[in-house]
Amino acid sequence: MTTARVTALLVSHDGARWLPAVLDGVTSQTRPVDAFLAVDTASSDGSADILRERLGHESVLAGRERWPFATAVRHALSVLPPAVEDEWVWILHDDSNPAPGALEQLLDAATPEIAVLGPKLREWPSLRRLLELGVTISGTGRRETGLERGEYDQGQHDRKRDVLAVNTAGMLVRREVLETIGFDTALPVYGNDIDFGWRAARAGHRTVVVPDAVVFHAEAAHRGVRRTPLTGSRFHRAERQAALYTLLVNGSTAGLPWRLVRLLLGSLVRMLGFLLVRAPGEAYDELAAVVRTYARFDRLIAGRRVRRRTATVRHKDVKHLLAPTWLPYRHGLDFVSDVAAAVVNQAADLAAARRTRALAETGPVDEEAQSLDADSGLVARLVASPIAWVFAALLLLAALAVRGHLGGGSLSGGALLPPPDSAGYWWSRAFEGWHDLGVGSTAPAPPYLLPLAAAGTLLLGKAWLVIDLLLFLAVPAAAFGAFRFLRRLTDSWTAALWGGVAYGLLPVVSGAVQQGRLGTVVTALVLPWFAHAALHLFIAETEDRRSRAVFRAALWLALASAFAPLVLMLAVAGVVLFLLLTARVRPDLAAGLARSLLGTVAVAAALLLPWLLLLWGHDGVSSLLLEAGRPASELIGSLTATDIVLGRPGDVGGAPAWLSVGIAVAAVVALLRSDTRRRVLVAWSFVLLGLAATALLSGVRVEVDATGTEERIWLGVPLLLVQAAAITAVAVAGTGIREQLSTHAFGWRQPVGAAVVVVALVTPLVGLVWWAVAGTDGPIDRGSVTAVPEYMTDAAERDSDQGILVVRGSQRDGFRYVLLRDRGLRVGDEAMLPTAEEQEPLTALVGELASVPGPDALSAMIQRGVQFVYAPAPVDQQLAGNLDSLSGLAPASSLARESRAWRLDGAVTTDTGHRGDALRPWLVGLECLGIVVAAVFAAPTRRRQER
Amino acid sequence: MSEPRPSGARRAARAPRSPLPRPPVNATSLTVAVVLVAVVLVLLTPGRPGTADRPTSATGQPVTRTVLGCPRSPVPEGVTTRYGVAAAEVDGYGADGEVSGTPRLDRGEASDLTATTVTGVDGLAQGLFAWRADSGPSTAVTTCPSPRASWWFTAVGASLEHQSTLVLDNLDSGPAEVDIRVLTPEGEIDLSETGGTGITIRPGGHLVLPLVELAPQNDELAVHVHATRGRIVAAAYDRFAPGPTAPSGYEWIGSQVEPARTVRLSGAPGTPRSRTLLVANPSTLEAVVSVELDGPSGRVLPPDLDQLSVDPGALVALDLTALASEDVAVRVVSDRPVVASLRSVVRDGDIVYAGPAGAVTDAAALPTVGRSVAHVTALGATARVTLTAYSSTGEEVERTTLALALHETATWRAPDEASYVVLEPTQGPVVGSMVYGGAAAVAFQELPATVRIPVVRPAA
Repeated sequence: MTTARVTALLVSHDGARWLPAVLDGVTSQTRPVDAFLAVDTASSDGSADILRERLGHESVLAGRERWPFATAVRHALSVLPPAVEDEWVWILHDDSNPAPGALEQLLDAATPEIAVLGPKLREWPSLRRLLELGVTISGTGRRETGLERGEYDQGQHDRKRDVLAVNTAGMLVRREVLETIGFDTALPVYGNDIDFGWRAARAGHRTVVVPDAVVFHAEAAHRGVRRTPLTGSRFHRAERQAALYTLLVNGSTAGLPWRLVRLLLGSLVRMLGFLLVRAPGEAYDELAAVVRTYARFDRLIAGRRVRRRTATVRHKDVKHLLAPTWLPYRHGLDFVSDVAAAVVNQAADLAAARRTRALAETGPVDEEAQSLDADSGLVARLVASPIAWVFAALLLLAALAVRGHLGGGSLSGGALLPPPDSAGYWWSRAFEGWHDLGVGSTAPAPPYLLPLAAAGTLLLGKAWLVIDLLLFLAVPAAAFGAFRFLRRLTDSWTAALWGGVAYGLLPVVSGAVQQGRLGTVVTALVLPWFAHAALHLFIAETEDRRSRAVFRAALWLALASAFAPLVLMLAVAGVVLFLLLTARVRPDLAAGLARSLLGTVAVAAALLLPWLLLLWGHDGVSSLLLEAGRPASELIGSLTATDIVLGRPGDVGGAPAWLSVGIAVAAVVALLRSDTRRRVLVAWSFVLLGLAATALLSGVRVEVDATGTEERIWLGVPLLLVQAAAITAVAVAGTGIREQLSTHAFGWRQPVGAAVVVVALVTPLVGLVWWAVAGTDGPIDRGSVTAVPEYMTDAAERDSDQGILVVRGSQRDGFRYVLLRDRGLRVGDEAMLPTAEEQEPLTALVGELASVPGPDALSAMIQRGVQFVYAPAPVDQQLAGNLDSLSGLAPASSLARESRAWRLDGAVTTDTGHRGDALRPWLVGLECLGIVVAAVFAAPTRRRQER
Repeated sequence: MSEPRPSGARRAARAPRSPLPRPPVNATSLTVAVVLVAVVLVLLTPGRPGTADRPTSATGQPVTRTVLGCPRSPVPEGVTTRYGVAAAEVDGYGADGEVSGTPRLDRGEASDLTATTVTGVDGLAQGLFAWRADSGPSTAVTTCPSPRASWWFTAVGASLEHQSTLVLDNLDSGPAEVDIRVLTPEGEIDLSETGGTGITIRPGGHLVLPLVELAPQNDELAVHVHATRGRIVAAAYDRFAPGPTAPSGYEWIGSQVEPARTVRLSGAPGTPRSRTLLVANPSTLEAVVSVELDGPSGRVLPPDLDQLSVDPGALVALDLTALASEDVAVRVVSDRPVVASLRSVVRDGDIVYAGPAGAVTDAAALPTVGRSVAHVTALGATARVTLTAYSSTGEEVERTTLALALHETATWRAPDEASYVVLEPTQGPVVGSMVYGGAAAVAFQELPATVRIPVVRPAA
């Protein structure tokens, strides 16, 4: 190829950092260039001077600052002497440095049918890492090099082959091809190489990469090192815009509509992905790129027209040069596995950190841990860890305790309604503006439906499993959370383990599980995690960590408050009191803490705001005082001082009160230890908060809208707080208590302290024994979901207009009724029932049926969609007689002889005039978005991807 | 457990790193204060308020529909039966509405009934009452009750000298199913094989059931008619001969809704030939019963009778002829719920039953048939009642006020031209009855005025 003429064409903009080396590279070529022309687009760093100095004034063209790459090249071509046969242009960037033999190797590879040749690009300055050996584009616009990022060049890709395009840095191109096809000025900086290669391919030219030719490339523009007015600060947007443009102008016409839709949706998904990893800048770039590209549709049309002129081969003939269609999916899979790997790695890192810490500690576990190899397997570590044994024992005990609840049917009873058949029920209830419950209700769905629905979805739609797991794994799960939290407060794993087990038992010893009090159980599960996150508000070293802690604590707080709104009220009260105290004693800290604490509460409240407002508007104050589930005030006894001190909010289902004496005594004695007193006092402040809330709410009765009755409040949450804080105080004071007692002779305190330690240690053990023996027997039970004949629920399920009016009671004690739709009430429905006022016509109808039914009684039943009337035993004789006497109401078969059932002859048509709140689904959707945003902000900060 | 060392676990939040405020006050006093506040909070916590689950009292609303069913039955030869209905004249009762079974009836009027079922709606549902009067060799009167599920008849019989017949009517549009229970002096009889249970009465149906078919050869019985499905109107007519050769008397027996610990029987005219109290104990435990008689001069206790014991499921007859000189009301008090009735054999062998009478605190009314004498007994300390006789056109014929001392029974004869008598207590509750020609008695019952609407609540 000695006859070939090669003109090196270097385009420079602010490349003074690299230019001297680049120029050295060009001049030291084993096959020197025949001419060297440079275009400087108004560099401000003296690049032009360097060029002029090295190449002479006549070889350096002055371009304008905003000239796109295409314009600069075209300008240079215009000043070249007339083309000769076999003339090549070697395009170089100011940051691309060719190896000495690069040009020679390129020219050696040239054949008549090859129009474009490209070198192997290696990273500059590392020199060893591969950047590109030709490049193509995927269907989503991703630039594909076929290389792993940071792959070292070991000759593994050294195969001369046809490619779609080669980078313009080091591209050797026939002059006539360059002049015919040219670069597109619509692509100012990025993507013009792929576009050029694609068009060259369509014009029937071959593009070949020559691995023996090496050019080192700094990728200054791509890495954002060089900002020009053309790239601007948003180089991601410019890149993405170029990719979209390239795909849309070069792709086939037939595929254009599909491509338009796919790229739009793809961009939106990518945007969402960027938002999820807290990269709002990139997300904005994605959106801006697609909007800008699609907004200039005329440019796309013009671009396609230009390409049609030079195209000589069909689209499908160049298709093999494009990236395979499956590649984007492969990237998606890679991304997911990367994320999973990152999570696993992080967990492994944490485990390693824990091991390291454990090695620094003394004690039996640590000695054993020391004897293990640092990289011993997970199983080996678990087997050697008494902590793992304790939690395994808790799981076994949990399995033992549920023995009374094995078998078919759903859990229900006490405050718990049966779970629905699938999590979809909860989703639809959460989003619908009108509920087909009883006479129809517009009550807002309670906020805990969303977490239940989400959990149910994760468990493959099995709603019953959510409830079962919540109730039956409450002890080990709460114990684990508390153990993790207490490990933050104490260096002693025994104290933390003791506290974890003692806390874990609270849901069962208090009777919350047995009574089916979902609110208290969930609060017990969430509280340690909330406390853990809230702790970071005080100890976080960086603002970023603190801000994440705010969102994390807010999410936990919102979750607990969704099930038990009292948690939010306690948090607000606690924050206000704490800030008042801080402002008084440490005003210097008050402002910072106020921001964190109020921020936490505000974010949690914002997450719950639509529900809080809607529920307040619908249910009034009861919405804030009643927790998830039926009020079931018949299970709440009179609250004595003993009940308060020992944490027994209810009469039914809990452990004997004396079982908790040890914790109460130890919490008081914990105050005696002077070196931990400050932190014990902090824990005690939460004891006081819980006690104050109990004192305030103990005498309160709230009116339940659905029944019109006044009910006592279940005070499980404040008493849980009291017990949790007491356990924390004991665990903190119990740190190193053995040494404290054995090394210090301090008179009477020593035997008293020892006795208290023994009592405290024994307390959870006795609790565990009680739990194992008593199980979780209580009002909750597993069995038939409804006490209504199956054929009725089947009919109601087929057609919700065929309601079942269940009436219980007697003339003397009064009657209670419920109008069942579908298969009856399910978890969450208790909060959405129509108000007593809305049910007034039905109440009057039942009153009439129980006294003197008028001739209109039947038509009233038809209007309200009552197909069946069911009276479980014992049946009020007058009611039964009245119903028997009604013409059009025929006796139907009932479950038991003592029960009675009637069926309306003929069809029932409900005329409820559904007037749902159309805004409700949007509000809930907005809330879901809010939760996702909060979760994104709570997640670990994404390390900015190195470019 | 070891005391934390400064170089120990990094994860534990230790005091120096935490910007928690340091309390400026003495730690000991703060500790004491914290414990004191906790104690005060626990002690200040008020007890839980009582539960409001149990509903409060039921409310009364004006009745707008009254259905009454008169017993239909074959009558002995020579007996003439008349059915009557009246919308009693009582202040405050409505005047609008309609009454079926009679051409036209306005407030205050009484009229013959052309059907055995009568329905009053709207205003005329209040104060509506109907009756059946049989006259001939023997006089028998009964009122027409509303359908219900439970009916007790005491002092019925199923022997040659004493034959009773149940008359059951189903006024409703749905079928009724009836179980019958029979108590004898020897105990309860199992009727499952004699067809006493699961008796179906079709809508609008009528069933005449002689007790001899169910429990033959039993002189004295108590019967419970219980509709396990639907409602019925039940009545029992009774033929009784004091001896094998004596002529038999004919009478309707008053019903009792449910057994009670105190049963009051009113309508025992004075100087009968004999008086027999019958008490049955449907419970499963022995009942210890005492009997008191309230006459014109107050309470009289039967001599030689401290307490009467009634076995479970059994019936006991107590002869009270020794105390038969005066018009009396009887009070049966038991430690178990019982049912009772008082049979008086009067001159010429006719019989009168003093049936269970409910306490009257509001207006009650009964028809006049022949020589009609009202018996009124004070239940409380003293009582005052107004008795007003009305003609069939609603005109007031005569009015009297009776002041009754404790346990006193007073009588007042209604004028012959009266069609019905309204009894209105103005002070204290009373029981009362109307004794017709000394040969029949019917207890006063409060007129339908208000309906008790039970407390109904939606359940959560």
